[in-house]
Amino acid sequence: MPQSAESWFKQLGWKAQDFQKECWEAYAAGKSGLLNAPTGSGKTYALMLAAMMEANPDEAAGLKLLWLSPIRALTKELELAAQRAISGLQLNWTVGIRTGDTSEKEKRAQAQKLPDLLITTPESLHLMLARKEYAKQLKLLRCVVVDEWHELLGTKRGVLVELGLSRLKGLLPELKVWGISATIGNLPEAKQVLHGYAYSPEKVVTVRAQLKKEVEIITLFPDEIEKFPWAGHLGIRMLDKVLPLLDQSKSTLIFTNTRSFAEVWYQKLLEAAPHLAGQIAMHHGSVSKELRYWVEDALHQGLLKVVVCTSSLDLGVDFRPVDTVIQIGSPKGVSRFLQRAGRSGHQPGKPSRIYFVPTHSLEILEGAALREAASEMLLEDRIPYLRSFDVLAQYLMTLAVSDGFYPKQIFREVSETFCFQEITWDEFEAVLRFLVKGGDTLKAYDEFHRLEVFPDGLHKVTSRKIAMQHRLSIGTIVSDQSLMVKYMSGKKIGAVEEWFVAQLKPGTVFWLAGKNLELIQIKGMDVLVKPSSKTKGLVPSWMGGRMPLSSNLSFMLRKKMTEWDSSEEEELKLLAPLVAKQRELSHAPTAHEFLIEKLETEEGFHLFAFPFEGRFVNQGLASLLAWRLSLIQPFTFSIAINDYGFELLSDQEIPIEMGLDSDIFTTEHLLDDLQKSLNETEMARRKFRDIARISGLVFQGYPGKPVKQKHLQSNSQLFFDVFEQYEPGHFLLKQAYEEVLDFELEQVRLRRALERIAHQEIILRYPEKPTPFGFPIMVDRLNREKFSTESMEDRIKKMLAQFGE
Amino acid sequence: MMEIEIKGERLVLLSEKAAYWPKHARLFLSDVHLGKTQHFRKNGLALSSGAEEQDIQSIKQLVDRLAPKEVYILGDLFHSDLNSEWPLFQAFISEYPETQFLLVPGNHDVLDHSVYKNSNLQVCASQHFCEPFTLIHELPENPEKEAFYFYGHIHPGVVLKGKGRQIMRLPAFYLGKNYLLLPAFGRLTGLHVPKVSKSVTVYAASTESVFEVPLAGRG
Repeated sequence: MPQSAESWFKQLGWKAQDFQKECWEAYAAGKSGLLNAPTGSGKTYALMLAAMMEANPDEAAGLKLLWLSPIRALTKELELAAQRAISGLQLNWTVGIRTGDTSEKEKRAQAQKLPDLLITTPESLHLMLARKEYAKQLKLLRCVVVDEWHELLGTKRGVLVELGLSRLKGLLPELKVWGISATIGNLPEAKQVLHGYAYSPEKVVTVRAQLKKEVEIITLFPDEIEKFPWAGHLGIRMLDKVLPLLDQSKSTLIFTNTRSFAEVWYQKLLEAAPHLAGQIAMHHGSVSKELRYWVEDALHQGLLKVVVCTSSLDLGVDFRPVDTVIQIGSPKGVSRFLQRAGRSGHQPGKPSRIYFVPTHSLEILEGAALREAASEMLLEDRIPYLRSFDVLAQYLMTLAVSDGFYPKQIFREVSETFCFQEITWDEFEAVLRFLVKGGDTLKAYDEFHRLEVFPDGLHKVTSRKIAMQHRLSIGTIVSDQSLMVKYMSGKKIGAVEEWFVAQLKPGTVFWLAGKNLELIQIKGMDVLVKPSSKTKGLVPSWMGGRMPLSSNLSFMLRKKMTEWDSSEEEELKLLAPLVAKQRELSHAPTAHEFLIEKLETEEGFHLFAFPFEGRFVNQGLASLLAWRLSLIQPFTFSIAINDYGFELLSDQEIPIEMGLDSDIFTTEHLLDDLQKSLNETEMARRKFRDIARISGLVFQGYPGKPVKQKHLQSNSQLFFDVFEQYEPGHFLLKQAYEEVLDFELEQVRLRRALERIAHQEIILRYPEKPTPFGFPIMVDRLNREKFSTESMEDRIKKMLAQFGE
Repeated sequence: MMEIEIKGERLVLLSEKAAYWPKHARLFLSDVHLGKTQHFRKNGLALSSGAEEQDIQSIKQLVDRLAPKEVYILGDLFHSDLNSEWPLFQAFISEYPETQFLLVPGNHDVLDHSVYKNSNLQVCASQHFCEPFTLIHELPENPEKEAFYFYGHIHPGVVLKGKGRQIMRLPAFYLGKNYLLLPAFGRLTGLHVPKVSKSVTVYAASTESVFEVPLAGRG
């Protein structure tokens, strides 16, 4: 008989925690559930041991426990923990990892027989379902654990998990499903999404680990607020304030918001403090896997004094030697900030300490907002995706390339997931028609062969080429095409994107992973380089969405603005000169006021508004305002956004006064107006790029021979245009618009913002020059959105007239 | 419409992205890329038809309006291997026995010669002299001294920049001292903005008009 977890713990001198015991008991009673526990709390053993205690020494080898983890970096640590437990409990289990990193040889061995415990990713689960006779391999499976579920929830990878689980539950009615989640705003919903509607509620429990940690938040201040810039994201001026912290600490993590900022900070730190050489490293998503693993190991062993990183180090195992965490620029959300803070101070009883480094003057206010939000534990919700038909199309293809499927059965399983709880048979059939006939129109496409229907109703792929292309396309992470940067020896350094490479010539020097590199040549998908001694170089940047300020942090920010003159907090006191300047030029709004500024410069006519709602909602409000203004007269706008407000820029005067008279911020006809305004911008078109790839409309190419980014993009644009014109009701097109409304514009939040504005006093000011609030938005040249309701001919006439001036 | 003069000959640039030579009733167009949707579909990518029927429709409208004697296609008429778009095109040209359709082949025109032979389409040499102009798909690396080329291939466009950070991308004709570069005729094609010297005149084609882009307006 294997020994029990508790007696093994006793041997080790450990004491089982209450939440661990609770999990073991609930599991033994055959229940599924959600465990709410932070990293480093013993959450792994709470569930791993529960499943292991169910083991029976006489049973056949084969997969019993499937452990899904969102990131590969975690899998090594999990494997070690599993091996220790297996020998501790004296089981005859084997354990294996399967991710994109797994060698071909091991994959083949696993194809013969799966280990008893398999640690893998959501994508690899779908790859298993794409293999012939998958049901046979899974017949002994008793439990699936979804680790770090809060990270998957609110992404399309989460939908992959939901769909994968629906199939497993269809195969194995007794299957137990457990999730592990850090604390988020909507924990009950997280549980519902994971379990769907296949289980009766009393079979699903919630277990909470009651661990609370003190967090100390310290804002670093510039010496003189008057000289601190109004705009900016980098914050390099604060370098002098950061350096002393590094010297005082054993090991420091510095979080930046983008990969290129990490590159710049790394270089500037080394320049300012050459003694850090050899003890400073960088970690971000485009640094090669080999280098990242090295950095993680070195952090564990306490060999590094400083690591400059991005969200790539948000997740994963704890680095005990880290005693200081620094956040450069707005963390955008309370949860993320606290999660990062939690990377330090692992000694029991000691508080976690995090330093916040503002990058421009108004951002200083966020320090105060973060502190209050943290003390009230205002953690954000993770909004789950609903009705992601692109993922459904991919999933059906996955089932079709293995053993095929019968639609009625799969429809039943799918409609028990949270994501597709409202799907109708008609909608499901539309997806099938898309896969079988290629379209929703009645016209038959004789040359279209993807999914075939057999006389008995079985839907199956017979073309080997299509099956192979599909297996290569499984997954929902859509990344821009990247090229691998390597030394001549073949050693990998990291990845840069195609458009960045396009501007390099042999001899050009650029920075990557903290190294100065000179380009030798580009060979296929490899960028060959050698070290350079030059100190100046290009800094690559990477595409990738910018997170908006969360609604919780926005709320707190607006609250702080009501305390301009009354608060004793240092952040607000320091900002007094800036507020005075804003008041002199225009007005400093409180939470009860909505500020609009109108002015003219050489560039044209500007309108600024400051909802303080995060960039997505601000974007939605800007589009809405642009649309409603264009009902007065046709307009072309260039729209710029930040987390605090937005700008409409035009070549003609903007009649906002007339708009305000006719209640331009009303919530009436909101959805209708938003949809119309969307047609005048590029947002849905951009969203469609991802949908086209996930649903299999466009193929990304074979490994080592990917399709060029440019072609992929123009192909997905093409589909968008053709659908718009010939199949405007196509479900993928509708999805693009819905996703823009829900995720880009956050329409629920947007409606609340409008309701709030309706109760605010609108303050319209005519400053003579840009104000501290408006300036940072005005100078954004890169991320502008176009909006136009003027005819092309009229715009051309006006432009030609300007050229003549 | 925009009238220009090249080598003493009057030519008309059309907003439909084609050029017309009234004296001889000759119509020039380039890069139609028919068959692209079928090409996608064959590879398992769903794309509704209609788009290129529309390209054929656009050629038809031009032919109806101008009644040209000759229609020269400067390459890339057909995007890929033979597929069901071809018979549509073939049927269309056979409706116009009075008009001669000629193809100066480009890099995408890979259909078997027998296919062309069975149609009313006449395939020219890859460099076709049409006094005083030379028709070709791509500009040769070493152009002949006296020649004036009409060519396509690169799907040229132009970027206009105006007040209030306005930006517009339009297909365009480029008129150099020894060439006229034509925009792509097909709808399912992209735009490329070539870098050219100031001496080159750029004519943009919008939905209803063709106009010269002043130097100040080129982005």
